[in-house]
Formats: sequence, structure tokens, C-alpha cells
Amino acid sequence: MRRVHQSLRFTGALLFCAVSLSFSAVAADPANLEGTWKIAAPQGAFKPEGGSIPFTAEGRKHYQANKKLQAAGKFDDFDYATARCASPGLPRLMLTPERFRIWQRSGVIGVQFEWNRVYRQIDMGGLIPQSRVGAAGGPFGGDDEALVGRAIPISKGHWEGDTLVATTEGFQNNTLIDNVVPHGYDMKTTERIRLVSADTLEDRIRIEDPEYFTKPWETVVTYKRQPDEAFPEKVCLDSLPANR
Amino acid sequence: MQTGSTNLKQHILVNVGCSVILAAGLAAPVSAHHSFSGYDMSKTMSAPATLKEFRWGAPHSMVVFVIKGADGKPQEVTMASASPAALNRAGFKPRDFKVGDKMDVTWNPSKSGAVGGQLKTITLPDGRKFADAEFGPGGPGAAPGSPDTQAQDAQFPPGTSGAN
Repeated sequence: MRRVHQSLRFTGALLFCAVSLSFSAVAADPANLEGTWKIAAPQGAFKPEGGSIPFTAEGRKHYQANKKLQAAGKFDDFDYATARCASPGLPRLMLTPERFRIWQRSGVIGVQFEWNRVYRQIDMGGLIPQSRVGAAGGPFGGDDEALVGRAIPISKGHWEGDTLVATTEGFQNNTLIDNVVPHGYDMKTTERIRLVSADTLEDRIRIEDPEYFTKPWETVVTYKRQPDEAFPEKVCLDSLPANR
Repeated sequence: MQTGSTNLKQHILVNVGCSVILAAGLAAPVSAHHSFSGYDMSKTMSAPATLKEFRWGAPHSMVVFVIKGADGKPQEVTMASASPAALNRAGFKPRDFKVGDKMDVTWNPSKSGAVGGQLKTITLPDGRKFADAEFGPGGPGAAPGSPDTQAQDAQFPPGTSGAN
């Protein structure tokens, strides 16, 4: 009887270890980025390294049109996130003035945003692909999204030393890079996310889109660690100004 | 991503609005995909239009056009259309529908009297025509012998060419 109890206790310990390892891969990862973060200096636009964004003629035309619409307050003509709480998409979400929390788990890194409880996924090789829909159609699934893209596509991630490299493609064309800068379906972003100190996180973002930019450009955003408090239940629509 | 100050009145209005939207949204998946009772399938409207927005989704996308309203002023109309996969099967991709492009559209109007309804066809600037197979002739909304086969055509606004 005593041997049975010891055996059960040992099995239980093994199970606990297995569950712990599968749900928290932080120990196995080269760096622990987990925690709650907030942008160090709130900003409505990414600041491009090198001074200015290298727009193509098409990109500049759309950018200037957006600037005019923004000045006129016509958000429903270009900025659906501000106008009606649509997803801001990536990389704009990384400019959120509110907090976000990073979860490192086995095969996937999650980023939970305080803004409207939006969620981002970085596939580290363990994320189960989304179901595809049949020829007869069905719920908005893999086939439809592959055709249309996402506001927040699932990023593909890997580690380079202690830096998390997240590449994102497959965008919709109706979100913005920041509060004004447009992009097309072919945008690709490559983020290099790392701790520059125990309480400072850096995201270096490289943006490519041959339709809108003559060459890739980069920008860097830094975040400060925040206490790991529960996020409030904030729903964007509940605070949308009634006159917009 | 902007937040605004809310007083009690606004808060109540927003919450009531959200409740209505939520209630409609909960009911929509069933009625939107399987019922055409909200549209007058015996009538087909047509107008030159400017594409303002294509809200992709499944089982239905929503398309926002700007047409010339009955008073001659630009008017936004929203029409239900097909899913990305259905459009793809018909040979059309999202990149074919450029915001700001001028195109000709036909639709079955809403029974409620609201401008807009169920999209039937879009003729793109290059002449290619998308006919919604689900809602157009041959689709479940146009069973054999249904009024759709003898649709009453009308331009919008009535009696005009509807030039935008």
C-alpha cells in the first residue's frame, strides 16, 4: 500500500513537472520577456530612423490624403479604429498608450493588449493552424483570411540570441501603420524585441511595402515595465464619443 | 484607439445602442445567411457608384458605396455581399476592388425602405462583372419561378441615370 502511495506521488510530481514545462517555456527560452509593459513615450506616429519615411508616389498620395481627413476629423474615411473601434492592426497596436502583457508559453508567445482586450499571437512553432473552410464556405476561416488578410496576422517568431524576432505578413490593406501612415496588402514587418534592461523592453520594427515605400525603413519603440495588475474590462465601443 | 469623455447621458445612449447592436448581431448569423426576407427580390436597383469600403467577412461581406442620392447629393449605401472565398471562386480577389474606384452596381433593395440592400452585381472599371451567385439568378434567393427571374429593374434615384 505504501509503495502504491509513493508511486502515485511520484507520478503526480512528474505530471506537475510536465504541465509546468508545457505551459511555461520561459525557462527554456533565451530571454524572459514576460510582464506588463507600457510605452515609454506616448506617440501617435512611428519616428523613422534616418529622418523621414521613404514614400513612393502612391504612398505619399495616400498619406497626404489621410492627413487632410485627419485634420477634418473625417475618421470614418480612413481610420476605422478611431471612428468605430475596429482593430488598429499591427504595427499600430505597438504604439498603444495603454498597457500590454506578454505571455511566453510553449510554442507560442501571446501579447494581451489592455485596449479593447485585443490579442496578438507570435507562433514559435507550436501554434495549431486555424481550421480551413470547405468549398461550400462557412465561418470566416483560413481560406477567407488567406485571401483577405488580417489586421493582426499571426506572426512567425524565433530567437536570435536573446532577441525575439517576429515576422508578420498577410495584412489587410484597411488599417494604418500608425495614426496616419497607410500600407498595402504586401506590407511585411520584422520586429526585433529584446530587453535592454530588466525593466525596459525595446521593439525595433522594420517595415517593408514596395507599393508604399521605396525602401524598407526602421523605427524603435521602448516600453517600461509595469506592475502585473489585472486589466480592467474596457470596451472601446462603450467609450466611443456619441458624435463620431 | 482614442477614448472620449462620457457623461451619463452619452453613456446611457451608448449602452442602449450597444444592446441593440448586440441583439441584432446575435440574431444576424442565422437570418443573414439563410433568409432574404429583408430584401425585395422582385426589384433590382442600379446606379453608378464609388467604392468607399469593402468590409470583408464570411459568410457575408458588407460593401459601402457612395451613390447619387434622391436629392442629388452623395449618399452612402451599404449592401450585403459574398464571402472572400465565394468571390475568389468567381475569379475576384480583394485587390480587384479599389477604394475610390467608380463602378456600376445593381442590388435588391431593402424592404424597410432604407437605401441599400443585397448586392447583385458589380461592374468594375475594367469591365469585368461580378454577379453574386448566392443571391443573384440561380442562387437560393432566386429559386426557379421566383420574382427574381422577372425582376423589375429600376435606376437609383428613380427616373435618373444616377450619375455620381
